[in-house]
Amino acid sequence: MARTAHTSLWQRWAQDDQLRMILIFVPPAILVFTVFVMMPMLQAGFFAPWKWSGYGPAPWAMNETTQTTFGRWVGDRNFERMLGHSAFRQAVWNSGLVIAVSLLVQLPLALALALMIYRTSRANTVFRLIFFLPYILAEVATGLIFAFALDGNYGLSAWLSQLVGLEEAWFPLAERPWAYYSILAVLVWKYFGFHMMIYIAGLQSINSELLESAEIDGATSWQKAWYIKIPLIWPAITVSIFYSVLGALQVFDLVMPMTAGGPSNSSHTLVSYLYNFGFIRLDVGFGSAVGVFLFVTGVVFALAYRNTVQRGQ
Amino acid sequence: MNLRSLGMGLVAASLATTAVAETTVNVLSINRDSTPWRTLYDDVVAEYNANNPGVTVTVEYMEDESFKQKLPTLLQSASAPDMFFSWSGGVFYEQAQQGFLKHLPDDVVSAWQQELSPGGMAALSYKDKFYGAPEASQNVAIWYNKDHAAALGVDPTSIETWDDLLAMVQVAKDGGVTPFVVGGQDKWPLHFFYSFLAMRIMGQDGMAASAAGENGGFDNADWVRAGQEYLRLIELEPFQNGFMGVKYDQATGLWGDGESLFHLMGDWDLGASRGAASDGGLSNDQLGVIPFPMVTGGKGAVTDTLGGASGFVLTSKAGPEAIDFLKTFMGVEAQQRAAREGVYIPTVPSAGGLVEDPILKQFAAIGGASTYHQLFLDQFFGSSLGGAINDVSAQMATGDITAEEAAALLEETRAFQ
Repeated sequence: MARTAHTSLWQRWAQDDQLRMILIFVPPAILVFTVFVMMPMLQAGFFAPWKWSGYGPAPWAMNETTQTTFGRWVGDRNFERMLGHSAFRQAVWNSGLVIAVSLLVQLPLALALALMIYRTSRANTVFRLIFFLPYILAEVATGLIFAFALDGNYGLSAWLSQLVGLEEAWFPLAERPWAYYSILAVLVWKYFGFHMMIYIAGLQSINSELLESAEIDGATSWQKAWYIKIPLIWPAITVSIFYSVLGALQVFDLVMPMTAGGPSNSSHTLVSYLYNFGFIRLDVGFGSAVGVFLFVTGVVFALAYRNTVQRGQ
Repeated sequence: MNLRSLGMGLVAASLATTAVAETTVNVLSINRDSTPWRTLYDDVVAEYNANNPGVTVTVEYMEDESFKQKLPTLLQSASAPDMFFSWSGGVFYEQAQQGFLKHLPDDVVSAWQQELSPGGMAALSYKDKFYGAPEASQNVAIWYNKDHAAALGVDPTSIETWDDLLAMVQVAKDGGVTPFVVGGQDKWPLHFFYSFLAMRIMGQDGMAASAAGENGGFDNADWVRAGQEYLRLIELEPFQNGFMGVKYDQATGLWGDGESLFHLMGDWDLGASRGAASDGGLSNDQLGVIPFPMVTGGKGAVTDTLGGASGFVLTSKAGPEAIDFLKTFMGVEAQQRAAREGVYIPTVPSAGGLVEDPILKQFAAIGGASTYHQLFLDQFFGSSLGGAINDVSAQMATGDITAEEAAALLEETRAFQ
């Protein structure tokens, strides 16, 4: 042990023949990470202060035909315009709503179900499978299914409206704020199974002796859950919160087939806002500015979360 | 083999290469799903290839949305086509301005202006340079369902003003018939109302002034009035239940199923609604067409038209062969055949009279009598400002913004360009 303390990391690698492994495996990973993650991020940062339609290799490149650059320098105006845009503020609010609903509805629901069905039995396996199924569905397929189900002309919504005797069928996806509430409901439905599985894995690793001794001491099942199970799976819960918040910042595939951001841009999330106002409208500089905002939000959250809630794990 | 025969062989080989040297002309088109349109292209290309040894024309087809997404990168790459389909408008101006297109020589321009449509040529021009040849002309008008009109006891052909139309909308509401179907989720079907009202109110000069940022750009009394008139319609709740959750394809299916009295849409809707309807759509006898009515006190004319102007434009790598083929591709003969077979409404004046389909004929007449043809506003003003026009049209329809706010939003977007 004393030897390792005095030898450098480098020497240790050389001795253990790990150096070769590092040389073989690390460069491809770094290359892929640089090309597909770092480069686009840096590019977005460089594109953000330009008004640029996407023609030409870069906004600052010289166009030989026109003798000007392809883009036009606008400084912080893309950010100014973004922050002043009502649809953008709505998108931020909507992304915030996803986080709130995840934390207050989805994760408690997942936890409650996990506590009920984590023990191994045939019935529990069936339930687990049923609850996990929505997670397996592709997001776009889910969105299309619900776009049909919530259509007042021929969907479930038409049938329900008739059943409760509404004079006019209900079109939740055509009305604000119901359009976005519908998306939130589908998100909860689709992802609670995933979080439930994380919790079940945690619950199954709890030492049964702990629970037995609690029972001998006369603990109720509520007390067992609150004082033993939940504290013991707390690391799993923090991981699931982390996923759910970062996932909330990425919601896109469900929004496009269900509402495409409508009605009147009321159901955009940050990513669907970026796609619509950056790509579809060929305003790459503006889209990059939104991308930078999204990136900074994600990084700030990740760092803050790691250094507070997940500290020491 | 001695040296001499080797030399001979080389000379022969090089000669042979020159003789079969093929120029290829690559054409990129959007999907032409309707068989007659695709057949028309195939026939024109096959005939041209047969008559022009040494030139091979190939056409590649791409779905609309991927076409739009791919074009910016494609135009900069070595595999750029020689010519491609264009809806004209803001995106086309951008391509021309950035130097990705080749303009036609002056003598070609004057010859084409004689034979093809001068108005269509103008739509594919930028800063006095002409970049392509026009194909189909599209016009938007108000369709009406004759069965509903008869049952309600109204005659839509009597509509002269916006107020007349609003009155008839009220009659339909009272009679339990949906006045208009619209695909609100796509937004652009709603922008037709707002665009037409603006055109009727401010006329060609007013529209040009807005585009140029004069007279307050979009933030002026005319645009506010256009919004207010539009909101008068919205207040009558003229659209089908849940219209903001429906796309154009579904909405036109509803129209084909006879769900409403009116439909504000372009001539292409004839085929589209029949394809989307559950039982073949409305027959020619059930369909009527009227122009969008005048707004009292407006500076425009009832004969001012709103629609598309599409065609093919040349990229900077296009050679003389490409120009020659374009002349045939969009030429008088091809357009006359398109008119006769009801493929599309041609832009070439000599072909317009050949349209036989009774409904398309009415649209051809509206186009032929046009005193000022305005390109769809969402294309004319480019993706950004055009998109904003679609946005405010939808926001006003859902009651989220006022006419004043809409005008201010548009001006803000314009000023940023």
